[in-house]
Amino acid sequence: MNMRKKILIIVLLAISGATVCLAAGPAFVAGSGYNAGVEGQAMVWANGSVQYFTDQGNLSPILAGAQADTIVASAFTTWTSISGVALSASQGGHLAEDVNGSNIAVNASGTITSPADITPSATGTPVGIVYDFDGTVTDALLGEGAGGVADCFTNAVYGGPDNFALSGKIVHAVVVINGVCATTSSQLPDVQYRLVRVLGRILGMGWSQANLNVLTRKPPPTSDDFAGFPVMHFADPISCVPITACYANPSTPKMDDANSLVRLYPGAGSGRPTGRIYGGLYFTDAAGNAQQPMQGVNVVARLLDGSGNPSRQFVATSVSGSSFVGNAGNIIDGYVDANGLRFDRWGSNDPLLEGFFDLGQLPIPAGQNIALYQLSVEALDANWSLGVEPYAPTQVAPSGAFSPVVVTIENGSNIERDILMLQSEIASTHPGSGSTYAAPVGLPQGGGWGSWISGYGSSDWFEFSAQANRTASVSVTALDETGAPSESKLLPVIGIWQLSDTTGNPAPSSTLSAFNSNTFGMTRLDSQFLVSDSFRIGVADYRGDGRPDYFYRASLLYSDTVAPARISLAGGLTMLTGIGFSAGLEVSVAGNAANPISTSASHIAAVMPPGAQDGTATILVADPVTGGFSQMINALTYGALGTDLLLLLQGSEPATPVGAPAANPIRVRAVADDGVTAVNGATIAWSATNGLQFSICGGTSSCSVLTDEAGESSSLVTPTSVGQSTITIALAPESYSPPQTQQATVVATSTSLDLVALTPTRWVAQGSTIAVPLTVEALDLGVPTANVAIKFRVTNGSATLSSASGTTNALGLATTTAQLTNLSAAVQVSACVSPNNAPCQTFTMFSTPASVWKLETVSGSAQVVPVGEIFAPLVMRVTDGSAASNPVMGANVAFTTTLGRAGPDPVILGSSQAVAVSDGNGLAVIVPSVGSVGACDVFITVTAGIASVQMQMESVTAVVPSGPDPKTPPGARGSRFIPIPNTVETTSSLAPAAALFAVPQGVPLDNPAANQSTCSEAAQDVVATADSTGNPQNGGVVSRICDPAPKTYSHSDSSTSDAGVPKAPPKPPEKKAPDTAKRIGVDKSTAPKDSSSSRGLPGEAAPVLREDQRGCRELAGNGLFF
Amino acid sequence: MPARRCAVALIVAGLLHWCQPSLVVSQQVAAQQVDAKQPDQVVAGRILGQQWKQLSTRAGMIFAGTVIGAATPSAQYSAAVPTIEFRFRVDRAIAGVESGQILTVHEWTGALPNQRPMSRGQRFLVFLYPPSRLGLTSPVGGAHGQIALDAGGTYVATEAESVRVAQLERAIRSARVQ
Repeated sequence: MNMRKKILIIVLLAISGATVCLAAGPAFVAGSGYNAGVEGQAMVWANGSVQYFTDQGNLSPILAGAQADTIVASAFTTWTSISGVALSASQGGHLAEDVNGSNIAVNASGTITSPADITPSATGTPVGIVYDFDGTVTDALLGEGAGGVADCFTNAVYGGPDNFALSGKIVHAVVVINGVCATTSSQLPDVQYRLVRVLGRILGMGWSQANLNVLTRKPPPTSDDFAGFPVMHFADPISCVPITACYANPSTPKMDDANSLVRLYPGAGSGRPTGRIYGGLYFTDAAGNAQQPMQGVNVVARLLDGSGNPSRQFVATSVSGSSFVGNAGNIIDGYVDANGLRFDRWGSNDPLLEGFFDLGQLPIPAGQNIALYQLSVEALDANWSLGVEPYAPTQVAPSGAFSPVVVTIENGSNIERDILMLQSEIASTHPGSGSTYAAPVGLPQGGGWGSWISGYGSSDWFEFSAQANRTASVSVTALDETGAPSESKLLPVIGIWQLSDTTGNPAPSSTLSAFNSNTFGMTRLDSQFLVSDSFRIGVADYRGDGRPDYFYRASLLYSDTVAPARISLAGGLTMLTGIGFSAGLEVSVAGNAANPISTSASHIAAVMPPGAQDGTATILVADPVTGGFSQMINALTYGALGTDLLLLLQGSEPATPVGAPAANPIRVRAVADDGVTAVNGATIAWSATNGLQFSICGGTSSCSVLTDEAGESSSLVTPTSVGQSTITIALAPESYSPPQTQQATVVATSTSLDLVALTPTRWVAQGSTIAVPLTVEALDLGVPTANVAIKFRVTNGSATLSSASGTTNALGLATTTAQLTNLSAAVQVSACVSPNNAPCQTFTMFSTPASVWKLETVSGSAQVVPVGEIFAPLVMRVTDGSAASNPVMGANVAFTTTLGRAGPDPVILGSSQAVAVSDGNGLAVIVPSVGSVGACDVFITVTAGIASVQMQMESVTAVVPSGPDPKTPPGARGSRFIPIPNTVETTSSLAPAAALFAVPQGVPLDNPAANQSTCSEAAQDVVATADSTGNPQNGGVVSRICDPAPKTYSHSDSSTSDAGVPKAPPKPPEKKAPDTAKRIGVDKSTAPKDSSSSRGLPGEAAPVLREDQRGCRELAGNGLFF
Repeated sequence: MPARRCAVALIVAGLLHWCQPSLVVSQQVAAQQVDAKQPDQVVAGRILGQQWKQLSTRAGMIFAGTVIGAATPSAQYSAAVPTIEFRFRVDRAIAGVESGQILTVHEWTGALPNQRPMSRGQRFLVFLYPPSRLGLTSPVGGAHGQIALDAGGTYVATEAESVRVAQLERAIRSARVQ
């Protein structure tokens, strides 16, 4: 690198670092990039000699050039005249021009030009003083209007060093004095004051803090406080206009100023007696021994007066570690700033300087041989001393305490006095201990942890696995010694890399700064994973710092899987698996809230809301307290997929009289692409031509319903016009085009006397003894006809009829009951209109052996119910095992219920058995119960013939959504260091990387709700008697259902009553509220229907529906469920 | 209300604590109350300073924004007047800019010592002078023209209170109309 380039680099360093200079002592300390041996040294003017060149023009109408020169000289003299300072400043002459708005310009190419002798490279005119007579220079440089009198508070004098040599010397600076701010004599003291301060910076003096009560008024300042208040304090109240309104002698250097300058430019012999106190400031261990140096603490020396009281006037300060690097960058976001310049270009990385303070040149009062100084420490004020380095602009609160001590100095003494901060924070072994970028440790169990970023430059590293199309939030909250969130300690930044990324480059997903969340003290990173892999989480301090008092609490919120991955469009129970779950998290799907019913650190059982349409949806797990969240993108499928198949189980019909239901229900089944796996809750769209009516559609010619757990949807069809009707059944047509479809036809006839057998074909359990109601309907040109005489006769097999004859009622119906005893063979019964024995219809009851039976789950197979709430009915269907899956009635279905607790040490707490007989639709129903047992696992085995099905349900302790206030200290010192088992939580926006990226935008939760309790009693099953719709008759149980959600679906179920009577047309498929109530896990598509929508049989009581003010619906009567 | 932030524009502290002792007490009491019940001008005066109207009218660009970059074109460093380029995403435009705009401004590096350091990701309510004929600008009144906001960019968070940017915006707009 040639010298020109080196100089240029240093110029850049100087300029861009102008706001991050070191102070309370030196303003600038050489860091990386300077010549060997220079690092750590204060940057000053070579040989203590400063030469300045002033503008050729006048400063203002009242200050001609020469008068302005006098003011400048006076300002320099303010500093150079300090006793013991080896510093001289002289005017080398004038600049070559009158710098004004006309010679600072921009050319056509956009390049800004200015007089050469005020540019950073003009080392021949080391300090250029510009007299901006009319404010136009200021206007040009700071913005239009900046040169006006209104902004003299900040813009009267400005500038600073803009060029440093690699040798660590200041080689150029520029100062602009705005003449507009010097047009009256009353303005001159302010100009003088601001000029002195700017020159102080140009000489290399940093900002300092002493007697801050002059600014804070706490306590009200005395004259001594003012007398010790340094010129080089960081900021003034804006109301200090004129400045003398606030300080009597604003431009007069105080002892702290003098000491600061003398340390920069120590004279060979000041002639005055002085002494020096220096040392290191340290954290301590439990025994009070020095540990890591502590940076950023204001060390204050006050002369004791004759009475032994610390002086307010004679005070000097030094910030510990002011020569040590304050911001070195960090491994997560990198070590260079946006300009590509290293953060550590300012300050040394020598550990010996980390806590070093230096109070040199402390004066000894005249006439004395010794002086007593009180040595104390204080925090730097985050506001008034924001600019005091090394930690500017974010000061760090000291840890521990130091009782002031008195140190005696004598002339020429160099007293080393270390400061031990007793009761300071002590870092101990923590989850991140020993972890490195290359070797991260496993993520603490539960996803939450507490740890220290202790030891300069340290960071924590954790490893975990994630899969593609997931997002996660990592939250880190900085805590102080009391465990309270803090923004004056660790500045946490977070990054995530693929574990295979060993480049050491900044994280592809990271927080750009600390405290990016709206939660005090918290930084949160939200990332999306684009590949399935192992990942590395890094936590570091923004400045690359590390101290024993940098404690944090962190958590990862990550949802990984959902099971089942496919549920009914009506919603249903799922189990989410992930990391960092806790009570109080909210779960939603596509923006609709789910109902979490059980939560542990790694699992959430939640009832998902109904979906908008068939297809995939994204699950969101969110922490409402912290804003953290995790998404499983398109992880959940509602209803049908595009690859699913639609099978026609039953589609043939004989010619059917108009106005009567066809002999067979049309039945379809949705299955997955394997052709076998049933698709629960898929949308089935029914439609027909020629006015054909569907029972499932409430008597209309089209509707959409959902399949049951067996994937089935069925409907009776009733022609309303003579001729052929075409039935089209489509699978999720709104989601997929073209959809899977099936078709069937029905040909309708009509005469003046038609006789129709309702449900003419039955499949009855072989060996059963059962009464089967047989009903016919008489019609005249499609209109039910009363008073038609009917004769019933057994024509095949063995059966006893309750009546051999009957007469149709007002509905055109006549019924007899066939008593089957120990059925062994098919039975046929004829029904004929008498006296002519015509027309006739035949009922056939096939004897179906148990060996062919199959069991299908219709609804209620997956349930998790809070303790105290009752389960929804478990509805099973027995079929004949044929391709058409015909329902078998009269089959004994055994439900064996075992209560226990699963896990490594399973416990059986009791069992029971109940038997139900399948009805005309093949349905057998029980209502599972755990009695008063409480939380436990419920294992149910259902057996019919040789068919058997097992399922597991749960009775759980309800979720109690509570978590600690993130701002609430978790307890006294020590308690916060307990690893947190469960934790939950970006706001960063980075370009997508190959594996993950941050998404535009947490806090640990300590008390996850237990989801298990000991079962102590045996199971108590409730066997329900199924009614005609499969609904249980459970003895008038009242159920309260609170369901604000607006949407549900009609469901597909059996379409005929036990008596073979077609169900009355249900209401149109209105948008009904889903059951998101306590009765969770119920698939709405298959749950027993609301009888309020059913006409029901004569004598059947309609349920009473009430709604209270909370929108809670109370069902009285038979306790049926939506 | 979001948590308070320790870092705060100096002007706030100045107004709260200095030169008007008689007012300090009432201000401190009021600071713990709900700002929404206070006139916008009162809140603006307390947060932005007594000169808030001048601050509002002198600025050419006022917005709540996020620092998304600070870069120095290398070619400019060799120029006579070295500049630094700041890029903001304008989250809430008040004057001279549009919401959602990516605003790029150039400052003379010599203006930086009077300012509060700004780094990527930080949010500020910024008052910028209209660009000069050189195309340069800077915060009005140095650090007084940079009001630190909370992470959501919604509140000015001070030691004593949180004030919605929306309330300040009403006051600023009102001052600019007058």
